[in-house]
Amino acid sequence: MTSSEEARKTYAEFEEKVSRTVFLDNLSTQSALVEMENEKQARALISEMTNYPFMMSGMPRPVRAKPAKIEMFADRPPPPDRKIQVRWVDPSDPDFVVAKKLKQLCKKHNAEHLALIKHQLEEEEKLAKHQEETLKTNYKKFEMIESIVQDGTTSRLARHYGVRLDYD
Amino acid sequence: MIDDVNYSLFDCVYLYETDALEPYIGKIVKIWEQPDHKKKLKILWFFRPNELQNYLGDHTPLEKEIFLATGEGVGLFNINPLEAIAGKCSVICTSKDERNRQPSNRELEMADYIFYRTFDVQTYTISEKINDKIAGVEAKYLLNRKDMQPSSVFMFEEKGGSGKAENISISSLMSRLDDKVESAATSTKRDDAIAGELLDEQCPLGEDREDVLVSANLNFGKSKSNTGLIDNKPSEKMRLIDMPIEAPNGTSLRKENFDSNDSGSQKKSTDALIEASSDSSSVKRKFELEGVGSSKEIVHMDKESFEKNDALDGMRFSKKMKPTDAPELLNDASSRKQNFESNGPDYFRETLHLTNSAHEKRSLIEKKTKPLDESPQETSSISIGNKEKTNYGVLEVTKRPDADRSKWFKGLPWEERMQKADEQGTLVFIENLDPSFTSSEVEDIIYHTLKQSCTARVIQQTLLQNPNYGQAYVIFKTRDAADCAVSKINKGCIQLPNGSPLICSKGMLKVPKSSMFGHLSVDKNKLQMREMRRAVSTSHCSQPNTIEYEMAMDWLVIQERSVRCLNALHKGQADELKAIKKRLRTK
Repeated sequence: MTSSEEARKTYAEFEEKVSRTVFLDNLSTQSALVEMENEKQARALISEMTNYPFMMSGMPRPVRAKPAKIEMFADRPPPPDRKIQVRWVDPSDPDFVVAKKLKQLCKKHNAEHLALIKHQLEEEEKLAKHQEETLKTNYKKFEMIESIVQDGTTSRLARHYGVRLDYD
Repeated sequence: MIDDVNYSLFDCVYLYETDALEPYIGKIVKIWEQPDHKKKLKILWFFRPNELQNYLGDHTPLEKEIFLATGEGVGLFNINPLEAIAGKCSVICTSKDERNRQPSNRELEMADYIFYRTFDVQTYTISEKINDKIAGVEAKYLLNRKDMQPSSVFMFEEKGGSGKAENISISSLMSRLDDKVESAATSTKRDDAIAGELLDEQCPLGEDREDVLVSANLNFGKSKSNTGLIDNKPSEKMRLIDMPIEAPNGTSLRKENFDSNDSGSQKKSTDALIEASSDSSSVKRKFELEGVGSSKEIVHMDKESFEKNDALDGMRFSKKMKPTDAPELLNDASSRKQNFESNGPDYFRETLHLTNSAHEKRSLIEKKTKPLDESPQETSSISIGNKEKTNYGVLEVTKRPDADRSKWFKGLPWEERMQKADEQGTLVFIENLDPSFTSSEVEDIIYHTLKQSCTARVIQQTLLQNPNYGQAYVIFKTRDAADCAVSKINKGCIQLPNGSPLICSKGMLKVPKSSMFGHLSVDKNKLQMREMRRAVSTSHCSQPNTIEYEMAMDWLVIQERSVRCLNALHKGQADELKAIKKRLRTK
């Protein structure tokens, strides 16, 4: 009984750890699990990162913070007292046909899922490209402004039109 | 006087501003008249939690909580014309500060808002400490005032005056009890039942009982007069009274009552009083039948017995598992043998198994990492592994006998092993698992169904994974074992407890990956412009007036859209899955 109690304890500890962990997505190509001191802090962190676009390891794509889920941990302890029953299904069993259908369904669903993800990634890529262009254009604009300010074009123009120029 | 309402100094009032959604709340700290007969007010502000959202951090405001302004600076107080007042507002201070008169439950119930924390307008911090002076006003005026008696007390006195000398204490006690119970957040229906019952029982009360009540009442009054302290006296006394007549059930009831009360001594004594009043056994029985107690108790009892049953079941299960496991396997072995002899085409594969397992066994023995007494079981299961082909019974997945073995060595990091396994062809990708399965459980499943040892690792669920299906990578010992497992699982069907059959495939899953990630950078030397000044790779919250912020918003929009799309898809898939699973004969 001690081992099962121990398992229960480990699991409870693990659950507690999960509750105060934040899942950070969209950090460059990776995501991360961040363990906070307590659950309250984790929640505060999530709300802050959700309410404001938070940049981490790059811009302008903000990081996304979500509460961590048990399934996000690869090396997690199994829930205590769980008994898994598996069986080989006899080909003559009517369930076998259903199981075949389920297999197909699973494949179909995963294909759909991957297709959607792929589409979304493409969309993201498009946005990234678009933003890159916008940024370049903006950059050019600022450069142009800077250059005409520097070479005295602005002050000449100002004099020409009789406008006063105030630099900060 | 405005609109027939009398406003006086230190009243809390609502103040309307035309463009504000909710009225502001403030406390009048000064009233004066200007030479031109215009009346002015100095208002010390309260903040609503939503006004402080950015500064709340990990503080969670209570339902009716507001924050008193403190410190020095803008936002502490304002001078307003008298006409700005929109109405009176009752704000109660629940601070445990000793200068503060503790409010009664009824006051709390009547209050529009409560406060016990302050917000410093200078440092933007929230604290429970109330400074001696805020905006030049002494704190005692800002807290609950001492001269303001709770209205309920007056009510009692009126009631008491109409009765006989002896009845006074009882009736006022009853009404107080009623009052307290009412405010104790129990449903009103129950209260009525209790109050009615108590009143019914008033007449046949014995003399002793009355004494007890009177003394209890005295104590009760005492506790009320110095509410700041938690008065042990009444509750202790009650306990003494309760002791002899308390059934074990009673204890749990009382405990629960105490556990659920957080308003300090007042309610405690009320609870005790309830018990005291139900002193005589007949009353007690009735009370148990109809009062709050009975239902609570039953629930409590149910819960307990349920838990106990659960625990027992668990014990029985695990006890049952161990001894029956081995014999079952042995039985299987003998029956398998017959199958084996008639199994022509599979012979080759089986021999392969045999060599594999034999090899395994040898290495096991060589390593001697296992205690001796387990080896007979190991051999028996290996022999089953040789002959295992079609066992259509339900297999209970327990821990493999050699589950702990791998922990002796710390292998390469998983990614490298996976890469290597993929090159060697021993990597198998398994789908359609229960997402809650752990790596070791997957290993156990493979061991029990295929009699193959392997290393498995479930794929972590990120926000890009399909939450309906769990996936895992499994590394087998040899290429042949992997091939064999794939063909067996895909041709046959291993059904998991949730009805899903396993699917597997060789090699790594091809996951779509984006080449662009959305992190842009501009030439660092030219980061002169204001908009671009924010360094590229530091962590920060974006400011709303930058290009960066706008771009970030684009990302948030696209992200929200993706999340919704995925959720919709997964929900649809889950429904389809359910529909088909319904057709399964066995659950």
